[in-house]
Amino acid sequence: MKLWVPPLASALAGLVGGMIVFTKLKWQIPADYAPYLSVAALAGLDTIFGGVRAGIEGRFQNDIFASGFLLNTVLAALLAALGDRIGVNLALVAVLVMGSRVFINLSLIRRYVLNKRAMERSKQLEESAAAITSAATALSQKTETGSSL
Amino acid sequence: MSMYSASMQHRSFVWQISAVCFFLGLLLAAATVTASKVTGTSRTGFIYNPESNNTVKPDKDKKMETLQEEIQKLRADKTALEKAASTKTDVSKTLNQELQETKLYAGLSEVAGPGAVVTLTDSKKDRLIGVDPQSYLIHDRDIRDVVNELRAAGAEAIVVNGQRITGSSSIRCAGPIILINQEEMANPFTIQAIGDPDKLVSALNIKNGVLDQIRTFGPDMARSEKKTQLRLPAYAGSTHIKYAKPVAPKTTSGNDESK
Repeated sequence: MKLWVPPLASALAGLVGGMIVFTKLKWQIPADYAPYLSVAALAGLDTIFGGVRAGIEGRFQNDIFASGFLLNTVLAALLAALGDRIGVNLALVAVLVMGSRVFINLSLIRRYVLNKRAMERSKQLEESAAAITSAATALSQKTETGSSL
Repeated sequence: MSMYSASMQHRSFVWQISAVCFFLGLLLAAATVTASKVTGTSRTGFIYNPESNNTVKPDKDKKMETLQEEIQKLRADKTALEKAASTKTDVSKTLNQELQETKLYAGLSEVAGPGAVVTLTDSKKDRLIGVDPQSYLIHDRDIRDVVNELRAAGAEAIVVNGQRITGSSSIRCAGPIILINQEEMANPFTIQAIGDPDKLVSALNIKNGVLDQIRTFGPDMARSEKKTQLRLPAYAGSTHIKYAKPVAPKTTSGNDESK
């Protein structure tokens, strides 16, 4: 099995589970909060991708991740709300920053996964090359001993 | 390479990310559900719909309806009596003819004839961001414009949602509803007019004209069609005049002055 399949599956399961739970709970959120919620969701998405990237790079810290998720979502929503109060569309700032970060993190994750695959392939090639050379040497030794006989 | 493989070996972060993904799922579902609430058809929710809202004040509406029917019946009876009374002399016949013409002009008699029907409805299209949502609704102004255009095109009798438009009629906005002759009306609006059908319809559909302007925000917001036969009800409201007094002719007796 591919190395990246189980983590992706578990993350997707968490995502879908959350969505199902929300629809089952039937919470009603006033329609006025729709733009703030959307920005908060985007901030959450950004944190998730940042966490995955940090995990692959081996510098994942759970406290930074959890606090980042909470604070980023709340801050993005508050920023959008503040922007509405003062008449500047600050939600756009959050969307721009979070959106570009999602793309950067996603491209880095993709690169790591593809590099890993390439490395595995080259490793296999090296192994098979080593096997061939060892077989060849063994054969040549055999022929040498055979010719000497 | 060592960094990568070392991190993938202990995968504690996968479970934490999955757990946070759960909350992200909650958030995303909340955002989509709430956003769909905004873009959905909630706009029609606040519009007073007489059909769906019958429980609010059915007694008053029923009473009004029966009273108006009674007024119309009494006025028809009056016309019949006027006609019967006028058969005796030429003078009374002429007087009655003049009276019926005045009543026809004032909108106090039921009329029939060829004409046109205009239907105005709120747009069912999704709102575009940056466009005033009010643009997608039919306003009192739109109905006034259509009535005005119909009159200019020679309409002889006009009815909006069953209300005859007379010289004392009013069409005005009252929040989510429109008051026509002080009666509450809601979308859609049907405007019937008696007159030359071709003339009426072509006047309404002039390029950049009344209907064309309304259709900017939805092609189905304004429709017009010719009719060979229309039957329009008489004005059923009050004709009571309290302050305006006709200027007395010069030959009046002192009776009026003493009043």
